[in-house]
Amino acid sequence: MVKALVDNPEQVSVSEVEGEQSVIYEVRVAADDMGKVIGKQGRIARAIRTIVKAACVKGGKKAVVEILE
Amino acid sequence: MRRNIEVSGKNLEEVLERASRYFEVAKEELGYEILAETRGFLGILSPKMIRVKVWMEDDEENTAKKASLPHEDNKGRPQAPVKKSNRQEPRRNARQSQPGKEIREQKEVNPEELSMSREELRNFFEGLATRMNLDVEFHIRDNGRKILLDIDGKDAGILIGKHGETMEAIETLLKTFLIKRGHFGIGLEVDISGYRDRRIDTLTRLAKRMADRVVEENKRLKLEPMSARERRIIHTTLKNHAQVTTYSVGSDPERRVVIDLKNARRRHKKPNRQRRK
Repeated sequence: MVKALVDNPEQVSVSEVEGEQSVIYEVRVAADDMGKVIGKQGRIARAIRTIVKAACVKGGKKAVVEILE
Repeated sequence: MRRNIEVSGKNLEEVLERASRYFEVAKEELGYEILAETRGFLGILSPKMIRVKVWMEDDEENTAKKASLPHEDNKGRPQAPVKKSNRQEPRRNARQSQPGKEIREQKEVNPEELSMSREELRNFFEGLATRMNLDVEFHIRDNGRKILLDIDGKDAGILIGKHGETMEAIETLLKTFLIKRGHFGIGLEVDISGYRDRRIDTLTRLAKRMADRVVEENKRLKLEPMSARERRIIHTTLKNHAQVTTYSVGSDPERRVVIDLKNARRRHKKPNRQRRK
């Protein structure tokens, strides 16, 4: 999902850290693409978080998305 | 710094033109790489597409060259579509009469571009829904200016989210996606199981009820924080109300509507009244 938004998709990686009640997704993107992923006033980042959260409703786990360079 | 976008279009010429508008530099300043050439889904109906990665070296030289951007060029219409797209003819006038150049200014969006972005959206959203493991159906249509994505199905509720939060998020994400793909000026509206209409209903009723309360209790009321679109519904509902007026306070996402009496002077009157007693 994130890949479609950035300039350097080959540099995007997502890792999952699974806890007992939650999953942490660490999204790494190229430095240049940080702005693209976060968006104006964090709009895109917020959208991503909301959607990921929704996706996890079914799995019954909480999801946290962290965006790293 | 290099800035990339992915653009799709009918042919390379068109794509580069669009990209040059995006970056605001002359076409000649752009580098590109063809990612894919595909024939659209519906064979005859949808034209061939080409997806190109276009980039610009973002340095001062280029910024300076912005000035040399051809503003009014009708010379270089994308005439020759790339090889072997031999069914160009039926796709008539649309192109000649409204060159891609002016898409941004025009209210009517180029129908081809619309159908192209619709296809791309479909693929993207399909992937998203599958990845999210959701049981939903959707269909995409457009009204000549906007793409409308309607979602329904068993898991539609999940996609709406609290007060439509997730739905808005999806809309934001898909809009970003469209821009990234080089489709500017195409509107998008996501609706899930008729949620929008229901929400408008709810908000209209809420607005009226709250207005009554304001009049009755003679005090202003602050509503819950709402999105701009929702606030607007409240404002429009009460625009012609005889006794109350509305305005918003705070800043997004905490901005909320206040309903107040039209000539609300009581704040100043109150202390006076008390003193007189």
